[in-house]
Amino acid sequence: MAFILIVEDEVAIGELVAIHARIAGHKASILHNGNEVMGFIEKTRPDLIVLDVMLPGQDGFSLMPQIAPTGIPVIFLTAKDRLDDRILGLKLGADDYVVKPFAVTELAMRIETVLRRCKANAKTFALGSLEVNFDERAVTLDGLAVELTAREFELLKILIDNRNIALSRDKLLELAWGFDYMGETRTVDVHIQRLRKKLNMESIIKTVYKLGYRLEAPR
Amino acid sequence: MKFWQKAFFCIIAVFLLGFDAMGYTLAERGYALNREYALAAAETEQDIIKQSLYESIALSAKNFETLNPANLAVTIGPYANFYQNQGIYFEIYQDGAPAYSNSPSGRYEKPQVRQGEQLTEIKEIEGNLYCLITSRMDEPYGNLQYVYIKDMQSLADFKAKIIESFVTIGVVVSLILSVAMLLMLVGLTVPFRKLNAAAAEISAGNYSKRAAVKSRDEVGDFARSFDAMTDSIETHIAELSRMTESKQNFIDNLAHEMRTPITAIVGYAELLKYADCSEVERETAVDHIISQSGRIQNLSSKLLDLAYMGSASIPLLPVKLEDLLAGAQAALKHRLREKNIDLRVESQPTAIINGDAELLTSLLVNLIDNAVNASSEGSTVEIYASREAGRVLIEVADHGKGMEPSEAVKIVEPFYRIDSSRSRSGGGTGLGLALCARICEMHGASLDICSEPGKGATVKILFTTP
Repeated sequence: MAFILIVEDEVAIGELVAIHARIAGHKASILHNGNEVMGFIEKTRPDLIVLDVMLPGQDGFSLMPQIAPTGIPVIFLTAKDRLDDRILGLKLGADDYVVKPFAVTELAMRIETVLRRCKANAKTFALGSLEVNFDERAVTLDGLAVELTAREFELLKILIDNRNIALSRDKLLELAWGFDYMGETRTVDVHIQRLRKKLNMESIIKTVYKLGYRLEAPR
Repeated sequence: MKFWQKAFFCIIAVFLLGFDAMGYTLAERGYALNREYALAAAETEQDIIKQSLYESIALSAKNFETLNPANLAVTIGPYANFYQNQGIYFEIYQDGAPAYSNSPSGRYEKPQVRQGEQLTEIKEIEGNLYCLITSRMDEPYGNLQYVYIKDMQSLADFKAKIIESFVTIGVVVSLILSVAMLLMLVGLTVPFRKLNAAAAEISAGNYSKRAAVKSRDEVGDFARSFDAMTDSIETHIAELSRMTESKQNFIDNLAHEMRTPITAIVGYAELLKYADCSEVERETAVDHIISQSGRIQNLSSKLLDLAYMGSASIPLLPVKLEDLLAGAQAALKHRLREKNIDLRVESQPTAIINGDAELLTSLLVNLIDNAVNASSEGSTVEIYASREAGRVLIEVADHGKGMEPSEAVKIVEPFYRIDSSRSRSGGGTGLGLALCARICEMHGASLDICSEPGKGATVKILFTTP
């Protein structure tokens, strides 16, 4: 579980990101004005900041040099989609740059990736007797190692990143196999079956009727 | 072939033709005149010589029994020798037979004339020109025929020399003429080349290029017309690109304005469909979907209004200001109560405006709505309406945050934001003031915004047509 600060002046967008963070099992706070950011960071030390660029008060780009020394990872979330802006954002030390309009699944995955990269304890995921170490690509069940193929591990990672969110078979195919994969959605079902069997996850990876699959983890 | 080349060759050709024709005519005429004089002189000389010969022969005849070629030669010899030095030769025929000759050819030319006749001819002998004058001696020596031969080569030489001079002069003059003309033609065609270069540059897209030819002739006139034409093209192109740019800006801004609500709607809809949400989250999502849809709806209806007003012309009918203000107040009643704002109206009840009641109400509603947005809770918005010299002035004033005077000018542009980050959280679309400006324009009214940061803003609308 991580604490995520969302700085976004559009209330609707800010809350959308916050709800997704909470569903993924994180805590989230929203700020609407750039001037409040530094004070808030000092008090609460969030694990990740999702930062809009165009903000009332100090804007995201001018806040970044102040945030960088604190070592808190930052993901820019902005409508500024020009290449120059992306480069500037990343040069200033941001860990990622997401352009509006964005797909929430994509943002959720990026948040997880950044958290995992920057936070030692997020490099593992534990649920019941299951433990996943993303760096080592190792999975243990009741302390015993479980052999997973590369594709199965990738699929598991995607389900964990998007926990509590249903992912359609097409979406899973796109994320785990890549856009250019010409396979059928049936392939996804087969892999999910294997995962459930190997990891004893029948009750955790739920089939959502007419939608796809959802990994359910306590919030 | 270039114009200056054409002009050059034509002029040179005409000049050479004229000059040579003149030269040839002059040479011919001079030659004819000279020959006439030379012949006249020769005839006189021949007459004198013939007289002297006659007298000599008459004198010496007494010493001889008969006249024969041998004793004729004795008499004539000294004369002939004397005249030979002057290029004059003699031939004497006795009874038609050659009796004496020192002719340069050494042959007898044998012309025949009767008594009293004189034959003048010009002949070429051995490549030289000679004048031959033949006549018989006076009686009693009528059987003697005297031929006077004079060297006339100088006449032919004269003609040849004149022609030669003309050719030389012609060549020299045409060379000088060529150089002078080339310089002149190149100089005279400079404006054409300038024009051409300017036209090429303009067609390549540099509309600020001008030919700038200063001459006062036809070319100068043409260049000035050309530059005037380019001026107007430049103005139009600038106008067009300005319009395209503002259209592009409008579209960019519109896309940006649509993006946020659409992202939110899609995001919340996906959340509802895929996520395992709590009841509270579900409600929040639905609320946001509704409010963001309303935002798009509001934006699209304002866009439609703008588009409609861009195309239509409206009938202007007299409207009571009183009614307009009442309509606007009614429309904003809820909004005013929400923010607890006191709307104070001071107006002359009799004022009448010529216009479209609906549009004018919309104008007032938009202006008051803006004022309310800018105001903090519990403050006041004031409206003054007055009539001066038949013109109606409406002022809407707030005591809100205000803005820099430089911003007040730009704020009527569609989607303009005073500060790039100022969000639309107040519910504005960014089109309200653009609509107001358009409505004012349609009613021939002027719209001015006076403001200072922290001191609120006053919008003044002056209806100039009663």
